[in-house]
Order: sequence, then C-alpha cells, then structure tokens
Amino acid sequence: MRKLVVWIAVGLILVLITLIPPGLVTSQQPSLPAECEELAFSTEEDFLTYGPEPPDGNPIISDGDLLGPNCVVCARNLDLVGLFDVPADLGLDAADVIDVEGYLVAFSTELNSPNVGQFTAGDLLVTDGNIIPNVALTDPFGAGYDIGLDALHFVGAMDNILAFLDEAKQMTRDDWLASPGTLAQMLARYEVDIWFSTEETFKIVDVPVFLDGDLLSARDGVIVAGNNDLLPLSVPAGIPNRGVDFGLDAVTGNRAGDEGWIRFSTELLYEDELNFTDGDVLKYGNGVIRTNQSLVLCFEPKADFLGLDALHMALEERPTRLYVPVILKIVEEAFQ
Amino acid sequence: MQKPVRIIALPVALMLILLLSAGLVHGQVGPDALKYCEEFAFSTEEDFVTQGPEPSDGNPIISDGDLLGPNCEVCARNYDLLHDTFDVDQDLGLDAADVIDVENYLVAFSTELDSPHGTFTAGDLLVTNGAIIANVALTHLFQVGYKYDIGLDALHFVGDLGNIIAFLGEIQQIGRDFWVQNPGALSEMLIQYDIDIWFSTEGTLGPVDAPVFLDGDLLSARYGIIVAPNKDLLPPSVPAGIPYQGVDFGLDAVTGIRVGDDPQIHFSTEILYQNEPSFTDGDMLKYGDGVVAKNIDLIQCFEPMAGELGLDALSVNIPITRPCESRITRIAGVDVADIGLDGMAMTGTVGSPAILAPVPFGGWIDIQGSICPDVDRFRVLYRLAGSANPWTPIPVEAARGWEVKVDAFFPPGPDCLGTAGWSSDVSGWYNASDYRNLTYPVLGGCNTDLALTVWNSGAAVNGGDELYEVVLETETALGVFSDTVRLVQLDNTPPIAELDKQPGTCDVYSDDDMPLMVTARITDTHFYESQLCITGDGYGTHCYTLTTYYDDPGDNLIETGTKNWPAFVDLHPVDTHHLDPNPVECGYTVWLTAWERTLWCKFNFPNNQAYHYPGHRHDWDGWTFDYTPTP
Repeated sequence: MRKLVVWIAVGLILVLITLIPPGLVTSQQPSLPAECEELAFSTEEDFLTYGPEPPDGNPIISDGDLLGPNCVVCARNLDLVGLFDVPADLGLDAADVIDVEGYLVAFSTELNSPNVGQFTAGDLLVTDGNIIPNVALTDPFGAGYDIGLDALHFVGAMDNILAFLDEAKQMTRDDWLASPGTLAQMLARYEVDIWFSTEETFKIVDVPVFLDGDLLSARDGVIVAGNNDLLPLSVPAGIPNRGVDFGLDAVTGNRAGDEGWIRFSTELLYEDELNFTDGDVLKYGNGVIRTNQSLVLCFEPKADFLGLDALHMALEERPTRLYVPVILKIVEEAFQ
Repeated sequence: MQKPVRIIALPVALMLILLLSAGLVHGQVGPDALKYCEEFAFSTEEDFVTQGPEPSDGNPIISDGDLLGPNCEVCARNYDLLHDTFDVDQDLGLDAADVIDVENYLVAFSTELDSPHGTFTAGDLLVTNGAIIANVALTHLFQVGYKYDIGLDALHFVGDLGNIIAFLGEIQQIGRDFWVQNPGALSEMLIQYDIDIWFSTEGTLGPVDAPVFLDGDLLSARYGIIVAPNKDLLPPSVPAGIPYQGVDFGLDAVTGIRVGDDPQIHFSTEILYQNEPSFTDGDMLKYGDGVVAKNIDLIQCFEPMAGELGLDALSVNIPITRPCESRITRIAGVDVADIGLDGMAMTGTVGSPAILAPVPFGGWIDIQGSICPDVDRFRVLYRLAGSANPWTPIPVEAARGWEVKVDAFFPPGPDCLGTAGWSSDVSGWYNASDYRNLTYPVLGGCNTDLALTVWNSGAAVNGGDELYEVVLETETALGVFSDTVRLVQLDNTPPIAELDKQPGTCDVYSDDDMPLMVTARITDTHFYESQLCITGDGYGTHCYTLTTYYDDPGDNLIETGTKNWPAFVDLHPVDTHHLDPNPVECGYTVWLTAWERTLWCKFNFPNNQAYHYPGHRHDWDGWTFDYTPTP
C-alpha cells in the first residue's frame, strides 16, 4: 500500500513538473534565509563545519560564503558571484544585506573578476547586477585609483536605497568610470550614503588623507568615523596622533547612520587592558560586544577563531520615545 | 558639530597638501638602504608611527607597504619599490617579499592593490628590475581549463642564487602579456634554470567541496604541486588543513633557505590560534614547530604604541652552505620526502584533486636526483625490500633511443636546438661528467630535469607488484658510495571490474523494477574509485557520482575493491528514467569503470619526456538489459 502511495505521489510530481513552463524556474526571484536579515558575516579563512550540515551537503565553509545566525549559510560565494557569470569563489570582503526577500546584497570580493574588466576586488557589487567601481566611491576624496573596498554599509531610508540601486543599475561600470562624480550626486539626490573603508591608506605626498582604518562617506567625501573614534580612547588608534592604524575590516550600523550604532571589526588584534581580536565585533568607541567565537561557535569548528571579514547586523534604534512618558512619570513621582 | 568640522577640515587639508606638494618629495630611503635587509626583511599588516629612531627620510609614519629590516631600518619605502620601475606614485601595500640580491637591488614582491595604470595586478609577482610575472603563470599547472588571478600572498625563490639572478635577468625583458598568453612557459623556464618559486595565494582554488589547494598551502610554480600543505606547516596539535583537520589557517608570508628544505620554512598565518601552541597572525612560525619569534620581537625596536602589527611579508636570507650530496630527490615526480615507509606517495601528495590515500608506483618510472662534481659515474639499483638479494642495476641502454637536448653545431652559441643520444652501459652506469654538462644551467646544460635513470618497473626481477629498495650508487676517486635507500611500492597489475551478469541471458525489466540495484565486484591491491553509467537508444549517457573507496565508509567499496571478493555486492542503483522521463522500450547498457590509485608512469625516450598519471589505470565491464515501460 505504501509503495502505491509513493508511486502516485511520484507520478503527480512528475506531471506537475512537466506542467511548469521551462522559463519559470530561472525567473523566480530567490530569497535569502530570513535569519540573514538579523546577522550576516564572513570569516577570514575556510573551515569545516562540525555542526549542522549545510543544505547543499558540503561541510566546507568558504571564506567567501555569507553566513548567518544558527549555522545558516545565507549564500555560497558562487550564489553571489555566479550572478555575474563568475564560476569561481572570489572571497567576500564586505557585505550589507539590504533586502532578504528580494535577495539584495551589496558586497565586495577578495579577488578581481576572472572576466577581464568586469569588476575588481575594490568595486561594490550588488546582487541585482549593480557594479560601482572603486574610483566612484573614493572620487570625492580625489583618490583617482582603485584603493580596495574592505567594509561597506548603506545608510538612508530603505525605500531610497532601493530607488538608488534601481537607478544605479542603469549605469554600466564604464559609465561610472567615465563620470565617477555622478555617484556622490546621485547619493545626495536620494539622501542615501555608502559608508565604506578601503584596503589601503590614501596619501598625498606621504600625508594620509584617510586611513584604511577610517570609515568614509561616498556621498560627502568625509571621514565619518576616524580609526581613533571607532576604538576606545585607551587604544592607540589613529595616525599620526595615537600611533597605529588598526584597519577597518568589516562595518555595519543602522540605516539612520547614527555613529553610536556602528559595529565593526579591525585588521589587527590588541592586547592590553582592553583586549580584542581582529575577529571580534566591536562597538563604536566601546570595545567588544561579541567575540569571534560566539559568531562561529554554532558551526563547532576545530578552532575558536576564524576572523571576521564582512559584517551585517540589523541595528535599528529602539523607539525610545515610547518610554519617555514612563521616564517622565518616574521623575514626576520622584519630585512628589 | 563634529561632522561639519571634518567637512571643512578635509578640503583645507587637501588644499594645504596641494600647495605644499610642489616643494615636497615622496618618502624615499634610496637603494643604499636595502643593505639593511640583506638577512632579514618584513612588512606589517597596518600602518603605524615609529616612536623609535626616525627613518632616514624623516617621516615617522611606517606604511604597511614599506619593507622593514632589523634594528628599525626602513629598507625601502613602498615608493622606492614601485615608483622608478613601475611608474607608480601611490602606496599599494606590500603583500609578499623576497630580498634576492642587495647589491643589485633585486627584490621580488607583490602588492595589496592593482596598479593604477593597469600594468599589473595585486596577484602578480613583481621584481624591482621591472619584471612582472602574471599570476596565471604562477598557478598555471594547477588550473585546468578556467584560469584566473587568484592572488599572491607569499613568495620565496628556491635554487642556486646565481641561477635565480640569471632567471630574473632573462624575464626582465619579458612583458606581462607574454605570461598571460603563455602561462606554461614559466614552469619550463624554472626547470631550465633549475629553480622554483614557492608561493601562496589569496583564495582557495577549485570546487568548494574539493579544493585543488588551499590559500594556506605552500605551492610550487615549477612542479604545480603543494610543497607544504597547511596541515604540515603547523604543528600536529593545530587543527590545520581542509578536509584533514578542519581549518585553513592561511599563509600570509613565507621564507626559507634557497635550497628549499621544508624544515627551514618560516611563515605567518592569516588567523590566530588560541589553544596550545598559541600564535597570532603576526608571529613568525617555523615549519611544523610553532612560534620562533613573536610579532613584538620584530617590531619592538620601532617602539610602536601597540604590540601587534601583523606580518604580511617575510624574507630571511641567511646563506647556508651545505656539502654537495649526490642523492635521489624524486621518484616519478614525487619528492622522496613525500614517500612513506610503505614505499607509497603519502596521502594527499599526488593527484588533482589529491588522492586521499597512499599511492604506489607503476610503469616506466623516472628517477630524479643530483650528482655532485666529484662523481665520475653513477647508477641506480634495486632489490626486494627487506631481502639480502643482490642489487639489480637499472640500465637504459642505447637501443632504447633516449635523446637529450644539446647545443646545435649551427647557429653558434647556446641554443639547445640539437639532440644527442643518452644511455647507460649494460650495468646501469652513467657518465657523471656528461650528466652534469647536460643538466646544469651554469654548465650550459639543456636538460635540467634529466632523470638519473628510468625503471621499467613492470619487469622488476621479483615481480611488478612488490615493495623494493632503490639506491643511488656513485663512484668517485675515493671509492663507491651509496645514498640513502628509498622504498618504492610497485603496482603493475591493473584492476578488475566485473558486473554480475549471465552470458546468454537477456534480462527484461519494467518500471516496477526501477531503480535497479547493480551488483558487481572489483579487485585491485590499491583500488581508488569507481563509477557507473547508463545509456540506451540515443539518449546519451548518464553517469552516477564517481565514488572513491574512502568517500562513504558504509558502502561496499574498500581499499582493495569491493568487499568480500570474489562475491558480487550491491554498488549503486541505476534507473532508465535518469536518461529520459519516459524512456522507450529498448536495450539499455550499464557499464562500470574502476580505477586504481597507482601513479602510472610512461617515458618517451626520443623526446626525453616523463608522464605521470595518478589514478589512471582502469578496467570496465558492460551489461545490457531490456527495458519495457509499464503500460
């Protein structure tokens, strides 16, 4: 009896499959696992998960994969770069999950595209096909050359970000290269910004204009948060004043662009009264809020530390105004 | 208020810089400063301000693109490395470095960023004499089909220093485009100069589930092999290597001695490790032995405000002179260090993807080695392992037609356009002087990889499937000497694969019988993998997953074939519906192919060319049945 049921089910499935138009499968918009809206990150190196097996059955986690909470693999690197007809893992150096349902992720790779001239490791890529070359991001600073892209985060109202990306899609990479200043203008028009960091420090005649540890604005051409601001005062961060550029390997924050909500990781570890590794999630000016181990623990890797190369967190400010009446009431009662 | 201040401050700073730039020059310490890095050089992961002695150009900011030496010396600013030769003004970082020759200002290196002029990428190997080796040339032997720039994270030249300098001199005239169009020329040239480039990449190569190499493996550009996998670089207690132990620790910087001894490899990783033995990604580690210098030991002279600045490039160049040693170095292309006590190539050292089991040898095996200047003649001998049998020589007599390259009579000068016969006498003795002249580049030799001899292992006196001892015997003015005895396990018997079928009977099946379990038997002393395929009525062929014996401990495949030989056992189900959703009534054929692990060798004597095929020899069997769809 059981066999008969199975055969009927198989028959039905086969009939249904034959009824599906051939083009439908590919035209369906994929989506990311919902958990990846809350948290998404990539590691510095590949490792083997001894935790739950990923759905594709491959226990090797690449440093190019986008990972989420609870051992979720949000996207294999090939899922991301495959959209650009790239059949090789190119690593994942920065990521911002913009829309989970719409499979909209902004990211950068560790390696240049194998398709000559398509994109570099310094370009900002979006899963909707957008390629924004590095020189457009750094144009307001006058860099004029590809200086790498190590961290990124979109700031602004979500509708505006989506509208910006929609319009940006009309621009080819060559268009941006021909007119890199357009990016800042377009960002200003949509009241959005792209916060980012570079792989290298940009200097003019040996004087740093910005460090690779500074958080930059592609719209305003300013340093949103210097390396010295990102790290607590007790850390000797920033050049030339405090002495060391700790780098900025990953960054995230809320969409409103509040400095206090910036979360990030560095390129270097620091061992003093305040300790952190280059895989920990740090809070703006306030040190470690999540260790690297806590991010990767669920995968039960053989090493506790795997680095942190890209980071996205859903960090929206709580509606504190709801609590104002409560606070006022407490104050009122205190004075009564 | 803070933000507007920055917005105003930045343009002002930019204007000031522009106004000042006419009178300023980029920081340069000049070519003379490289002498401080003759024995030791490195770069950091990030910029910092030195609180120690001020660099000679007066700029206290040390860039992660600068080449640093002992005693707080800045041996080269990034500008020194890039500007004059590559016309680059910007600091592009320094990701790998090898100080080759201080007197001639010869440094091999790679950058963090691509050239702003598009003249090189961050994955290319640059030399201060202007040479650029495109990344695809370095990885050419590893990349099959689809080739791309996979980055360059660490590099170290191996070989005679004179040969390395001569090689770098020759490639100075070769443009990057040449390497892109002829990536295979690099390994040929490295062979010609008898040198190698050891390197690591930024990314792991190959499918995610079966990497060809990791970015933590040390690779050889000359041989296209993994010189030292990540698991060997780090102590056994560190869970290094994928899939062996679970983590790729990366390889951010590497150095060693020029003779290329594994134990002398020093390196740094991409990620730290917090258990025992703990290390950071800025510490200098020794091959298999953990930390030899903490990051602070390298940088403390600069008195930086932080104790950890990372380690992105490393070059140690302490000349170690060793007495010349005549010895066997490779057997069928496998380094003797990678051959275990069982006489087989160690797990993971052979094949692409690597065969994760010991691999024996078979066929015409080329034996490579080095012959010192004091040797008059040499030969290679073998005998059954553990026996007291007399040693048997391995001759290649003139009748075999072994031809090697020599300079032609015309045109004059070195050209390697001619050929000459090469052979031993009947007792296996070769003339050592001729051998050196044919092989050593400094002597004008055209055959740097000329084998010491070639062994027809299938005709070995005690059989082609035995474990043998192999030894190099050299004769000098002082007598006859033997090198270390090497063990070689042979396997010259191909596998047997048989499907369970009854001749003269045409089995008839319908939909009710699908999927159909195929039963078969396979035997080979060193079985590797098998695969089933099905075909019929012009549908093409559907092949099922290629399965090694170690893929699934629960199946019927073991390292000698199928379980319980000669019994037939279940292998894998097949189904005509895998060819078509509605297969027609017809005869369908299933065939089974089984491969052994043996590194099968061939040698083309007229062309002096060795061929090595790991996991190559196979047997197959077919079985046809009749299928009728259920009405």
